[in-house]
Amino acid sequence: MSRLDALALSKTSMLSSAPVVTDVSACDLPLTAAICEHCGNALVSSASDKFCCRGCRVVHESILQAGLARYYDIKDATIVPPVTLGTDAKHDRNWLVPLTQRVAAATATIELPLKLQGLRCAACVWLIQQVFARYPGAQRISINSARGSLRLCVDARFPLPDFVHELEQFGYALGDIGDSESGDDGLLLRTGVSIALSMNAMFFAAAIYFGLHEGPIYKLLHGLNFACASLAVLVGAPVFLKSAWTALRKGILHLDLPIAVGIVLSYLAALWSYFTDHSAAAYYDSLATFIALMLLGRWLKERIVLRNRRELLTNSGLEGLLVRRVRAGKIELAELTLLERGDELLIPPGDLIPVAGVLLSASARCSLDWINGESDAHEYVREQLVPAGAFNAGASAVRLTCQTDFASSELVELLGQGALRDSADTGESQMFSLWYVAAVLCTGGLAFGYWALTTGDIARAMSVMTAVYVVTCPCAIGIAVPLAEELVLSGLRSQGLFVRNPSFLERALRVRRVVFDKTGTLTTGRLQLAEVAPLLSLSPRLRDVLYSMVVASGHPKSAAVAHALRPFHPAWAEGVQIVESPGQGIEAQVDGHCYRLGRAEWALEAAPDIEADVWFSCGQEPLCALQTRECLRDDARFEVEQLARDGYETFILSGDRAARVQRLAAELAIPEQRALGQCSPKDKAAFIARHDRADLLMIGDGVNDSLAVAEAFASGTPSIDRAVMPSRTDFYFVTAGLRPIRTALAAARKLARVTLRNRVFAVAYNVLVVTVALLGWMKPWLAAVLMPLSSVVVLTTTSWSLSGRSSLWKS
Amino acid sequence: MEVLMLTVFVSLVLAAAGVLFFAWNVRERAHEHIDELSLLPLDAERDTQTKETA
Repeated sequence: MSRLDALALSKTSMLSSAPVVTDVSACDLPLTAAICEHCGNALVSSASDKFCCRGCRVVHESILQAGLARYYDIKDATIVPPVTLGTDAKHDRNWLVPLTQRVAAATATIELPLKLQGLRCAACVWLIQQVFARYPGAQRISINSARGSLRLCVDARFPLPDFVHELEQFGYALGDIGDSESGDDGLLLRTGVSIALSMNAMFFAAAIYFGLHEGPIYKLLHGLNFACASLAVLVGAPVFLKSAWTALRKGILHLDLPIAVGIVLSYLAALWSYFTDHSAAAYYDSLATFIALMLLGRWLKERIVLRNRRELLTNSGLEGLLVRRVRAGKIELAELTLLERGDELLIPPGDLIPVAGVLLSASARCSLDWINGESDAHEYVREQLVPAGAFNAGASAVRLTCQTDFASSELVELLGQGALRDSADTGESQMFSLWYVAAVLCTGGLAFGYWALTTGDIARAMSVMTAVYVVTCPCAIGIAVPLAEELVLSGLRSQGLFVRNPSFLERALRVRRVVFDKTGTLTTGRLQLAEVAPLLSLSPRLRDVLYSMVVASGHPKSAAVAHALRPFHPAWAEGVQIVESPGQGIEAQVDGHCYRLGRAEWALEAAPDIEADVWFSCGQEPLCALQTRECLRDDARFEVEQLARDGYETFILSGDRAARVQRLAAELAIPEQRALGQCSPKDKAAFIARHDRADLLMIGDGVNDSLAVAEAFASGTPSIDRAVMPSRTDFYFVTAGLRPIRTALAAARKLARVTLRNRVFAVAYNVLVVTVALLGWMKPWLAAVLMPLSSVVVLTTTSWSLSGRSSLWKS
Repeated sequence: MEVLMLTVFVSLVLAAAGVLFFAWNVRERAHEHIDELSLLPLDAERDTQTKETA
């Protein structure tokens, strides 16, 4: 038993005050300003507690006990995921085996690079540093929050599994680094070098703008200025040229094209100016500044999306996962792709069953919610076939024989589709870019023609054309749009939502329908008692017996009963031995009496006259009847109502039984015809295909949603601990509630308004400066002032509109 | 004239050094350790407290 599990069990007095939401109406209430003391998520208004869930309470106590209370001082208002206790929170640990062997065999200090999920702020870094420093053999730790990775320098004494386990108890997850460390820092390097070049070019140009027009010093500075611009082109231009060329080949026009055109034409003019000594067209420093600003904008745009993608351990598909294979009496770790028909597998509690297999163990309890959305765990006995995609929900490891190889697994069919949508700019941005490119090219060409024909001075005509190309470069858009996106993505991060595909914000504008999966999305995936009244009819002694039975069982229904009993302060009788009958219930002998908790036909002698899914009996005589139901997310009803009020149509698509889906829809005030149950993954995808008019957002958590997610116009998932889904959706969220979905839709609308304002500003600015250029009044020094000035204005207004102070993040 | 040449030369050397240092920083990924760097004052504080306790 882990330290935290023990803590959870032993602190019955502490847990007794935990909120028990047994009345569904309690879930309808809006959120208050109060937040969970551990994770920072908003609390429901009915909760008098300081924590949003038991997991957060236990971790909070554990952090205090470990003397790490300072974590909360440093963390401040950052939201971290609420902590889930139990099998749901278990992560794949097979990757740990070879690393542990490597540490044990080390003769000197070795370096271990690991991937870390759950890093949110400096407080997380501090907490992990403190935990690491307490272990023997810990030499040095380096935590990279941008990449979600850490490097441990340890010797052979270091207990790696203990360290990993302790961090998992605090809500972090560790994994093998794989190839996630290999990122491209080229863009940042190019940006930094370009900024240095542009600043130097500006210094060299300053003397010329202030009146230095001849002599050796002028020639030196003029030459250096040109050299800086040439180097800036050499360093920065390939980024935009390559991107513009790729986009053109695909028939897409985005902002890189005018940027590339601007750079090329301006540099050609600069070359001509330098070698013909026409200083009127020498916009060297403007060119270097423009390249630096555009690269900065590009880096900003890519930085946060890359960070969001690197955040999760389960970023990729299943191919990287390892499974325990039994060969010649020995257990070995094997990649899923290497599994063959007939292989014997050992599946520990909480692990995925990757291929359909015949059960060799006497019995197994498996959760199928990932593949069909059913909330109840299924019981299997020896010789039965367990489907691929099930999770071992029992308390012990099970053995099975593979019926197929991994390539033939049903999982592969489900996962065969659904790569992330292309993140290239779409629709409106393309049209704007198209018109922008056309307008700039035509204006420059016309200016050249007009001046060449009317004055006959080709040099003068070149100078005017260069001025047009330099001053019309889309500074305001090239850097303000990425900044606006960065601010929105950062704001959403702080709200617990992580966008992985930047084009989502543009697509979110068109969303009018939101389709929810049920289990794990609208509900937490856990069970609760519909009513606690039947427990009141039990004597305190019987409640003690019942409590002692259910805390010894790992079944979800037992957990629901235990949760409902805690406010009664039951005593836990040590030594009560339960016998679990798979698919039936649990049984215990206490004081010579046989107590049972389970299905009616097993727990009772005679068929009952009332309906209940769990019966508590003594000698097969009924003591009380209990009805369990799924636990809705705290704010599910409120958020669904708010979405409807904002004009969104909401739907439920579930693989669970139709009656359950209808009951849940009624609770959420979703019309009956918009709630469909017993949907296979293909049914879900077909429904999305029929109803999606490029306006549908699908929110799902299981692999049974992967086809639907691939079909949907936009998608999101609350599932971060299981592979596949986060890598296939536009965003994931880590909060206890659904609130970030509505915030993301509102943020997309606000971003669109700010982008429109920036475009209006850009057009107004360009009309003004082009007029000046066409009249032949533009000078290099004027361009050097106007370009940065327009950028500063548009960046300031953008920051003001979308920064943390914006009402968007406070509403 | 000589002074100006020298000034330009020194400024170019400094700029080149700055770029090289930046490149090294990016290569070492030190620029992504902002959270760790922000905790350095806590280490200094802890050291002071340790000395006072001693």
